Amino acid sequence: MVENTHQINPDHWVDEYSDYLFNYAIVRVNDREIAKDLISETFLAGLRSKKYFKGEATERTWLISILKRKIIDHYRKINSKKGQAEVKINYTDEDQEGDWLEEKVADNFEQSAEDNLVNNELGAAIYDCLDKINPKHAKIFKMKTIDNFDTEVICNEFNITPSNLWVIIHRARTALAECMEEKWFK
Amino acid sequence: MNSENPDKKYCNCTDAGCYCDKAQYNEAADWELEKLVSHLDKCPKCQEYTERNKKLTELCKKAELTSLKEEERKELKKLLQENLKNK
Repeated sequence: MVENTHQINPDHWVDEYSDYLFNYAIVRVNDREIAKDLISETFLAGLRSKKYFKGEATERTWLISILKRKIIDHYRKINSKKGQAEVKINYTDEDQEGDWLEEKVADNFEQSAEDNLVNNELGAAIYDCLDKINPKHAKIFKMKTIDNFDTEVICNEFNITPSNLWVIIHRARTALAECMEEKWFK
Repeated sequence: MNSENPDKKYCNCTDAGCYCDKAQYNEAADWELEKLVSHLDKCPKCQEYTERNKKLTELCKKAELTSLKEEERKELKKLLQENLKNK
C-alpha cells in the first residue's frame, strides 16, 4: 500500500520548484518568456487542482506532470497556428509553387534532441542533489554558479565575509560532487 | 580559510580546496594558483578533490542551468498569492 505522506504547500512552490521547473521547460521550448509563462500556468493549474493531490507523489513530481501537459498544449497551439498560416500562404511566383515556407527557414537548432534530453536529465540530477544539501549552501551555490553573481553581492545579501562564502561554496561543491558521483556516474 | 598569504610557498589542504574552488570561478589569484599547484604535487587527496571539482564544473556548464531572476520570482509569488486569496 502506498503511503500518502507528501503534503501540498503552494506558499513554497516558487522558492522550491520554480528553478527546477524553469530548467525543465526552457530545454523543451527554447524560449525564456514562453518557459516563464508555462511555469505561471503550471502553478495556477496546480492551485486549481490541488484538491486532487493525493500525496502519493512529491509536490515536484506532481507539478512536473502538470508542466508536461502545459508544454504539450503549447506545441499543439503552435501547430494549429502553423496550420492556419500555411493555408494563408499564397505563392505569387510560379517557380515557387510547391515550396513551403517552412522549407526555406534555416534550421537554427544548435543542439540535437538527444543533447537536449541528456542536458535536461543532467540538470534534473544537479537540482536533485541541490535539494539534498543545506538549503543556504544550495542557494549560495546557485547564486554563484548558475546566476553568476559577484562574490561581493552574495556576501552583502547573506551578510557574510568572502572567507565564509568560500567555505560554504567548498561544502556545497563537496556534497554536490559526491551526490553526482552517485546519481550521474554510477 | 586563509584568503591572503602570498609569502609562504605551500598551503594546507583546506586552503588548497578553497583555491581550487576559486579557480572554478576564475577568481583565484596567481599566487593562490601557484600554491595550489605546489600542494597538488604532493597531496593525492587534494588531487582527487580537484578532479571531482573540475568534473562538477564541467557538468554544471554542460547542463546549461539557468534560473529565474529575482523580479521574475517575485512576480510568480505575487500571482500565486493573488490566486490563493481568491480561492
